[in-house]
Formats: sequence, C-alpha cells, structure tokens
Amino acid sequence: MEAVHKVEERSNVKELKSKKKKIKLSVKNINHTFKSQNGDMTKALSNVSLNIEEQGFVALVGPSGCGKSTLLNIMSGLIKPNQGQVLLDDIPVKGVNDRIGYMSQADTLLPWRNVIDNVALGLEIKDVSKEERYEIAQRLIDRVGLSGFENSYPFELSGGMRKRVTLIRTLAVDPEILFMDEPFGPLDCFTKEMLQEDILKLWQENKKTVVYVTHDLSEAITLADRVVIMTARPSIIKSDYDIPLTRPRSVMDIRFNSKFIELEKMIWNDLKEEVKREG
Amino acid sequence: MTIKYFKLRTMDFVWSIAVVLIFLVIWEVSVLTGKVNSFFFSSPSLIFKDIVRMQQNGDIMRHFGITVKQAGYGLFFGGLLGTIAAIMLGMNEKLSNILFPIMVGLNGLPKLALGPLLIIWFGIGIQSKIFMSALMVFFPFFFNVHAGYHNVDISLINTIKMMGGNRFQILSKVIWPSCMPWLIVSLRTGVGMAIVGAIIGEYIGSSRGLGWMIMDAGGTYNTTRVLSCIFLLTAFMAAIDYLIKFFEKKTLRWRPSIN
Repeated sequence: MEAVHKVEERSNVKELKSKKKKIKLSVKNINHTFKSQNGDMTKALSNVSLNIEEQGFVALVGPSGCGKSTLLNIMSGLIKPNQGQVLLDDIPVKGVNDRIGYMSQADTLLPWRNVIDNVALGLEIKDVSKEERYEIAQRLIDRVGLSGFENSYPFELSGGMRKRVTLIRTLAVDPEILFMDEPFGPLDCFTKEMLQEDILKLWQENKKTVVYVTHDLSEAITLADRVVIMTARPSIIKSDYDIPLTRPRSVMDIRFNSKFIELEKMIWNDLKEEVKREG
Repeated sequence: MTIKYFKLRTMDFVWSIAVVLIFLVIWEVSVLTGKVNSFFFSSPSLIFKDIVRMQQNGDIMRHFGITVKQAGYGLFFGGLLGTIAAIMLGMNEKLSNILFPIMVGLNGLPKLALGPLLIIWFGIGIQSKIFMSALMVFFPFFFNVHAGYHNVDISLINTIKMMGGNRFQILSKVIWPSCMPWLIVSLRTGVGMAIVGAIIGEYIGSSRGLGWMIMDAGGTYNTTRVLSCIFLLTAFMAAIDYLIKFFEKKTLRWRPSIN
C-alpha cells in the first residue's frame, strides 16, 4: 500500500516537473486603500498580482508596514480589497475560507484549554468525533516533541512551545494552504531556528502551499522556494527570486552554504533600497 | 512545594480563627468584669446559648431556612437574567447603545425604596423577597459579565472565525469561557447581595425569616437575639465564600495564580 502510494507520488512529481506547476492561488490586480484613524487615506497596495503554485513555499519580504499583512489578509478573505480579486483553484475567494490555515504573530491559543484541546480546536469546530480529533492532535503533539504536555495550560508553556502548539493547531485541520504572518516574530533566535526546523520537517512530510510573511530575509531564503520582495507603501511587487537550494534543508547549516550567501547578498541589495526609502 | 504551600495556608487559617477567638475572649471578659453592659452588647456565651436554644426549638430551620431559600432563588433568577442580559447586549451593539444607559440609571435608583411597591405587587409572601433579592443580584451580574464580554480578546474570536466557526461556536468556545472569571466574581458579590435583598424584603413586611427575627428582637431590646442572627449570617457567608473559592480554583485552573 505504502509502496504503491510512493510510486504514484513519484510519477506525480515527474508530471509536475514536465508540465508547468498548477496555480493554487492567484492574486489579480489588487488595489487597496486604508482610511487611517485621522481620516487620511493611505494606499497600501498598488496593482499587486501574484501567482502561487500548488505545494509552493513562497515568502513575502518587505520593509515593515509595507502591506505584506494586508495582502495576506486579503488573500485569506478577511479583508475585501477595493479592487482586484483572489482566486483559489480558479474560484474567487469570498469571505473567510476554512481551506486556508492562518497563523499570525499574536498568541491565539485559548488560555482555558490545555494543549491537546487547543490542537483539536479546529477539528472540534468541524465536528470531528472526539476520538479522531484526539488521535490527530496526539500524533502532531508527538511529532513536534511536546509529548507529556498534553494536559498543560498555555500559561505553563514557554514562548517557543506555545508557538509549536499554534503551528500544529493550524496543521491539524489539514488546510490546503497555510498562511503565516511573521509567526515567530517575538521569539529569540535559537527558539526561532528550532521552530523553523519544525516547519521544514512538517512541510517536507506533507507539502502544502505556504505563504510566509516575514521581514527577515535570511529566514525567507532558508524556508522558501521563492522570495517575493515588496516595496514600501504603496506596495508593489518589486522582484521575485527563485531559491534553488536543495531540500531537505537544515536551518542550522544552510547559512554557511555559499549559494545561500550569494542569494542573500543579491536579494539584500535589492531590498536595501526599499528599507532606505521607507526609513 | 505544594505541601509547604498547603501548610502555609493552613497556618493562615489557624491565625484567622485565633483573631476571632481573641476578640470573643476580650468581649466576654469585658462583660464578666462589668466594663461592658450585656444589655446593650450581649456576650459571646449568651449568644452561644441563644443559638443552641434556637437550634433546639427549630427556630433556625424555620427562619434561617426561609431566608436562605429566598436568597437562593433570588441569586438564581437575578444571576441568570443578569448574565443573559449582558450577553445579549454584548452581541447586539445597537441594543447595547439603547439599553445600557437605562441599565446604569436603573442601577442608580435605591432598591430599598421599591420595597413598599413590591409588597403591594407581590404581597408579604416569599415572592416579594425573591424579587428584591433578584433585583439586588441582577446588577452586579449584569455589569460584571458586560465588562467581561467587552474584555474578550478579539484575536481569539478571529481565530475561531478563520477556522470556519459560527456565532454559536464563538459564544461557547471563546466568549463564555473568557467571561468565566467575571462570572465567579459576580457570584461572590451576588451571594452577599442576595442575602441582603432577602433580609431587606423581610424588614419591610413579613412574618418569618432572619430579617423578621432581627426586627422583632430589636423591637424588644433583645440584643442577644439580634447578634445571634448576625453571627449565623456571618458564619453562613464565610462558608459559602469558601465553597465558591474552591469552585473558582477548579474552574480557573487555566489562569496563572498570583502566588
């Protein structure tokens, strides 16, 4: 059974390589303007178009406040853009969509639920039976090394552990697309690397389409297949880089890879102008 | 560590009892030595004897029982309605804008002044006391749960929405549990208010209950009886508060404790 599955998978890979990859999510000519609190109009996004392939790992990078999160919120259906549309499998996205898993920077674990009940939350909302949701949750908990903490409450966990729980909670419902908005922003760099390692491991096992927003260029190169650079407001997509580093990658070692350094230098030169402009 | 903590707490409890005992001894001695007139201030031994007598002739069950029953109903109805009203106003902003100022106004009016009206409307039976008690309890529940509702973390609500949760799931999985601490605070204040409501009700017009007993004893200068009733109430309140604390510990396990 397992073997057949593998063969199938391999032939799929070949097919994908020979043809062009299927477009999972398509952003078409998005324009969006905010009304800020003092009544001024701020143009956040200007004519943004982006195609994201199925099983692709795309990082959106740009100076802070450049509208990356706005774009993510539009793609997930939380915000309706003034102009343009988002297509998921060629069908326009209208409102929030549970085929999309969303992980934000905020700590959104329910404080009154222990770890396993937090992980099972999405499944509970989808009315999955208790046995099944605990089984799925337990498997994910074991996978990220949180065994033994099933009955702990969020306040009893470290920041890194809480992020792990949030990550597997997002994955538990098996979304088709994963949106991550600076998910590890407030963590220290060691914890961050451990979590990046977790993401790569989980993604390698079960490839989802991922859109990852960050302002950390080396994080973007480490994780993604593609790095998309956005400009300061009003944001346009400035450039789009393929990251041809081999997988599986190791977060700890990849930064010493000469190709990594070369890529980082090249993209950084590009990004530098934007950071200066914004500052 | 937990054992040490437990021992510390036990010691604190012993000290609380000690403080009360010291007070009672000073009181008793002052009366015995004639420094204080027992006609005005009674004495712990007189009160103790009086409580034993009330227990033997069934007065405690008859009067204390009815007051607790009225307060219990008052707490139940007042608490339930207060909570429901707060959540309804929380869920509907328009309704909240219209009704909240009215609620603030109603809370400001002295409930005691409604007493005679309640007697006219509901008679001197148990209903008027339950109504008074519920009225006293309604407002602390309403304002606490209302504050709790507006304290809900919006990002948690968005999380449920993103997972495809409906309004009911948002209510049951986020709003309700996050209002829980506020509800328990309401419960603690509410118990006191419920008893006060029942007793005020009895003051105004009744033939039974602890409030009636206090009024009756006061009218005949029976300080011992008044103080017996007050002592019973105090002991009862302390016991209830202990129970609520226990319940709080169980339900709010998820909150980091200050210690």
